[in-house]
Amino acid sequence: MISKFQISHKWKKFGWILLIPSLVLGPFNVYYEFEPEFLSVRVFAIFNEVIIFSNPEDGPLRFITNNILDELLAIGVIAGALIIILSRETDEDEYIRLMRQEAMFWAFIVNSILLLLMVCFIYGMSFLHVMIFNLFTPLILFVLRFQYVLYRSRHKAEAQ
Amino acid sequence: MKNKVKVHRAIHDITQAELARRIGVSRQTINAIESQNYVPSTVLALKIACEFKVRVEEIFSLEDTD
Repeated sequence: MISKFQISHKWKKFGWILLIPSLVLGPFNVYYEFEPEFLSVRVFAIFNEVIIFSNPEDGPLRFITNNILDELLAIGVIAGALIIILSRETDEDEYIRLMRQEAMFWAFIVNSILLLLMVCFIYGMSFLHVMIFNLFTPLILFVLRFQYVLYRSRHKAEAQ
Repeated sequence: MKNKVKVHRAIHDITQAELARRIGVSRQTINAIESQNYVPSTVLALKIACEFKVRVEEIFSLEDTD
């Protein structure tokens, strides 16, 4: 089924170019509120609500001023990881497709276990950070696991 | 399911890489099949049998646990 949505191997490099800088800059944006001024622009919001202060920009369907660095980084991580996952390997075949599917299953299970632990041990506003990171961890775990099993099987084949 | 891909490959004196190239799969696929880590699809099993010019049952057979 997954093969219907696959794209050319050439895209994979582009996926890494999007993913890595976004992953590196992401935590700076979350923890240090790093927001360069030139990225504050007018954007269309289907809905905007600032929880603490009421302001005239609150409400549905309106233009608001927003720093778009966090949006760009989120798009970078999601699109980058998706491109990596969907691009064919140069020697793509049924076994590699099976490894990809198993990596997705592994990522889903590991992510769920991590989330269970976080629910039990992280409280208050810190849990907001858990929720932010958990938006991306399924995709990141999927990419890392797939790259690892691919590397391991290639290494094993080379060794023989 | 067990298989005798390695035996037939030895009879024909070809490498894993060469067999992989001839039937159009990756080298790690042949490696995984030979080390009994992967059960190939029916299509791939038939391609392997065809390459060695034998019936598929001569290469692949069921185990007691199957």
